[in-house]
Amino acid sequence: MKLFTQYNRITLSVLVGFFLVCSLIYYFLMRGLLIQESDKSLIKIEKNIRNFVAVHNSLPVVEPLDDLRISCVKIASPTTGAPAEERSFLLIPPTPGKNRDNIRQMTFFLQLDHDWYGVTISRTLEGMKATALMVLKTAVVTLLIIAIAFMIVSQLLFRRLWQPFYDSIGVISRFKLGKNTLEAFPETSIQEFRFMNEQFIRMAAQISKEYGVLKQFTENASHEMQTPLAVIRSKLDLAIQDEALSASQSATLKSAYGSVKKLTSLNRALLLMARISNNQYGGRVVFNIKDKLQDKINQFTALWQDKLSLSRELHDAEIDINPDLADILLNNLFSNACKHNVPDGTVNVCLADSRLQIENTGRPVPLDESRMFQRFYKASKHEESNGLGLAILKEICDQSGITPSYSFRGNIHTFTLEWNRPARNLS
Amino acid sequence: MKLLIVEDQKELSNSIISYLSTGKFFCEPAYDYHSALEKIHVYEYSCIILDLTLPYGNGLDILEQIKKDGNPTGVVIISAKNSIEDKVLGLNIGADDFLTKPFHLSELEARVTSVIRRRSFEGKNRICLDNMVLDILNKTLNGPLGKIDLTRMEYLLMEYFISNKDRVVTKEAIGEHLCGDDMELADNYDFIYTHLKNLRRKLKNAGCPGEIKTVYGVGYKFSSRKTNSR
Repeated sequence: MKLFTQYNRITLSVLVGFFLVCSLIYYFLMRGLLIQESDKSLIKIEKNIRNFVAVHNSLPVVEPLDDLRISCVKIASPTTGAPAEERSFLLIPPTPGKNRDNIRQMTFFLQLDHDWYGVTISRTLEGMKATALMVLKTAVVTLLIIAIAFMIVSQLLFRRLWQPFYDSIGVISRFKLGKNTLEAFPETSIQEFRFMNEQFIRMAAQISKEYGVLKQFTENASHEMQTPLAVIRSKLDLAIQDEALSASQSATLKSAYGSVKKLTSLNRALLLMARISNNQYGGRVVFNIKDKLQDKINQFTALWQDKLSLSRELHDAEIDINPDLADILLNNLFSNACKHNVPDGTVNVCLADSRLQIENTGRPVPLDESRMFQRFYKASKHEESNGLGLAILKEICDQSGITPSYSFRGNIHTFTLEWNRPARNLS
Repeated sequence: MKLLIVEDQKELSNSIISYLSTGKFFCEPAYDYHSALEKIHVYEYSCIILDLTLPYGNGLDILEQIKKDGNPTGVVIISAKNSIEDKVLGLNIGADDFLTKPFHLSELEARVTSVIRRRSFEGKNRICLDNMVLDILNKTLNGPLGKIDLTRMEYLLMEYFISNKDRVVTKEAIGEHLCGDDMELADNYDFIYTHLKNLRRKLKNAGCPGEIKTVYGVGYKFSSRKTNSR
């Protein structure tokens, strides 16, 4: 839910409640006022009747008017001592079939020639229904007008007030770690947004710094490791020159060689990845990747001879990429397709416009697509694999605007690279 | 032939010196920028093995100095930085070759030998070894019984073995020499064996005095029968 909607929802419901309460209070106030007025006039009539009785010494004969009825009933002597001043009021609500409106009734007692009479004056309160209706109408109309006005104003105001927020979000969303720096936030006079922007800037700077340190560390660590590795390897190279090596010594040296080799390739891969993400492979060139692929296939054939069979379908395809990265990319794809193959398996290469697909037979288990591009992901316990090949592939693809995808069907693993055809034509 | 090893890591420098000193080379170490420059000015070397990160200076500056002086020595850079820019920069200034650490000593010897050969025997495209002549231009081998045609891989193998005569070279080193970075493509070194088998057969058929021996579990060793007859 948008903040605006939420805000409107709350404000409008509060508004409706507020109006309901106000209308009720208003209604009761009006009602009280009406009753008070009516009571005043009833007391006036009482005075008139008392005067009449005092002067004429007889009960007045009153024509029953529509909204005023007076009835005198002779009663036994009143129970209480001095009923002269006693009067009681009664409000009769509308009763179907008898009276349509509220009726205000006043009863008082009157003494005439030692006889007591109870006089009841009833008066219709016509205004009350009208008042209730009017209050309701006023409330609804006012509510409607205020609500509409409120919506329009808040819509306009919201847009304007929150503009700096949306600007800041835009700046943040365009920020990519390791790719570009944070753009300047647009100036705002709102203190909260200024504070938010400051925090964003501080955070981005901190993240970038940490990321830089991490990358630097990987690169430096890999660099620093190369010299000791060179020393170890050179010592091994010297050691095997010894004519008097025993078989067990040879085996020891061989396994040491193997580990140095693994460490070296791991180190190179890490360094390569650090370099790629550091944008050290800049110069992109538009070229036809078909020739490069053809070369790679030839090398592949030379290395694998007849252990795997390869089929190809190559068409011209232009790509915009650093040529060195293209080499590494193809090497990775091919070495994956070969190393994780089965004996007498097949590799199928298909190059079409802006699309390269390499299929290979392999283990009947698909790779874990959510983790396959992570560093040190190993699907199989392959001796020579350092688990970085696909991570490097992903890094190169990200750098060069290529979308890699993977699919698995019936023991066939397929890697597909897709890219946008470069704008410049090859000529 | 005199070599200068400019490398600040004494351990690595010692290894290089003891590996290369056994044969045709006489090696001298320099452990920092200033001693390297001093030695280059005073003595003449057939080839200089140059590390780029040195105490008190950069190897590339030494290289520039060498080229400015018109010194005809060959330079092989060995560097821990294998970034393309460094490589391109080094080769542009005038280095003859570039090797990334960690390297195989046999590879270093092959590169140094090749650099010296290119520099000192310009125009000469034959390597003679006992009764064998390796024709660099035509990629052929001439033995006592006649000419042997070699495939590209076999020629590269032969050249590598001749550069590393009487040394044990590992399968890994051979693989990397033959394929370079494409070695990643292969998951084992079986392909070397096929080429090696063919090469051995061709050598034998041509009556060459050399023999490629398998050193069990480690690698291979090429030696002339004459020098290594037991």
